[in-house]
Amino acid sequence: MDRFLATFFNPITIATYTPAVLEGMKITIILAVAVTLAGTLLGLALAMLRTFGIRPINFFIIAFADIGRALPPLVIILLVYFGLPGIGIRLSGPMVVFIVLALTLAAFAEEVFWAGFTSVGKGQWEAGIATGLGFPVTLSSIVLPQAIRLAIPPLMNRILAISKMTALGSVVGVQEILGAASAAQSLSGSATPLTMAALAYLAIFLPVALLARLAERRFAWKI
Amino acid sequence: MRRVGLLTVDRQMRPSLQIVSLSKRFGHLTILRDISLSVMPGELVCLIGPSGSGKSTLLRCCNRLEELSGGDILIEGRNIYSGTARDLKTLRAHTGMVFQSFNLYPHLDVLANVTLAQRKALGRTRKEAEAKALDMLGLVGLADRAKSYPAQLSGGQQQRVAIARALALDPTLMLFDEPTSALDPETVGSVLSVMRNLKTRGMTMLVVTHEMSFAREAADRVVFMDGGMIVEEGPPEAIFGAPQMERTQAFLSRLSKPVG
Ligand SMILES: Nc1ncnc2c1ncn2[C@@H]1O[C@H](COP(=O)(O)OP(=O)(O)O)[C@@H](O)[C@H]1O
Ligand SMILES: [Mg+2]
Repeated sequence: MDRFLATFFNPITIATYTPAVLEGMKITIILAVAVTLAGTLLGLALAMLRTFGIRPINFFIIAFADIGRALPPLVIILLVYFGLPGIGIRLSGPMVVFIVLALTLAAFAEEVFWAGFTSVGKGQWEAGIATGLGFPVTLSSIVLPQAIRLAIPPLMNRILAISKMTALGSVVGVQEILGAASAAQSLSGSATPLTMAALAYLAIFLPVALLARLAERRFAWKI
Repeated sequence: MRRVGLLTVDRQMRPSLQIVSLSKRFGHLTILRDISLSVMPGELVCLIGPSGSGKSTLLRCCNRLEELSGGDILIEGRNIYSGTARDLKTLRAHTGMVFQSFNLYPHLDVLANVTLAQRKALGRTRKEAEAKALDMLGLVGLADRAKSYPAQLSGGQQQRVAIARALALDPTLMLFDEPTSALDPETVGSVLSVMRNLKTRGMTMLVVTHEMSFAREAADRVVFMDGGMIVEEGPPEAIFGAPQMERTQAFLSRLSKPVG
């Protein structure tokens, strides 16, 4: 038992590395929020664009969504971070993580919003058009609010899954939680910083998970 | 009670709706052929016929939810294909459409359902739109449900809200597509009585319906469609009492046979 505590909860190690892990939490939160906002908005914009039914544009949106959902983000992060400098483009670690995860989330969010749009009945569009509202107003005032409502629960789950992938930043030197903790782990030779990392992730993402659960209940839809 | 502008019909004898040799194809399939039909101001015309005969499509052509393949449609003497996109929106606002499935907006309360297009299509202020909405909700007997959501209303109530939503836009013509077909029998009456009330107020109406007793007693004229064509039309006494065409007779006798 003592050995267990000394390995995972060493008080001296905790005291030493708490500032670094807190700093990591800050970076994780900033990255997660940025990824969530950018990915959700881009996904929504793409899904809205797709409702206009312009074939060549839709082809690209669908291709983007499918490729973005198929590729493991880690592969792209490594490719961009280590590959692009070869052609003279050098992006910082946090920037690479932000771009790749935001695009990944956008791909999923586009599909989630699109599913929302398609499950709003044709009759809603027709009622809007028949009362003299144009396509854009019908989209924004009638269809969009319903589509967003339908999309929120699955979207929350996606956001949770992808924003915690900010941990991948540790492989390209981003000092987010895991990055800070593994540095501390090699310095101290103790697993305790990793325990701290796990707790830090819980502190950030458990509330998000609870929020997602709440949203699922709140938006259980009755038509 | 104030009834601003509602149902003040100008009684000049130009048809409210004039359909001229309309045809409609979906791909190779001709759904409507050579339809000509006029509805005069204040007139209630019932469109009856078997399912699949093209009644809904004809109605939807009148506000360009469907595009014509041939012929012309004039509303208040104006060709609905002649104007700009803006004219089309105005035309649609002033051509009320009531759907079988109500199509109320489930995320908005009743008041917002009735004010949305007033504000965004006709440019009324919130205050104007709400006053008008409460007036129209009063007319359909639902002034006290302004703050309810559609899901909290019965089918008949929802359909009456849908009627109020259309009336609030000061329509010159109301199109009804089987307004009572999706309703529980006990709420059908409330919707039909609103429609009768509209007629006594002079509203011009084209109504697709399977409620033959309503057509018989409320319509000025009944039009029987089959296979994408108008087979026969005339006053209800004539169509129901002494139909001339064989197909009309067959349709009506099928209907009057006891079910089961
Ligand atoms: N969008 C469409 N594409 C192809 N066929 C259609 C479409 N809408 C209606 N139809 C066909 O047109 C015919 C008439 O339909 P409809 O106008 O709904 O008849 P009714 O309202 O009299 O039952 C039907 O055979 C139907 O299958
Ligand atoms: Mg029909």
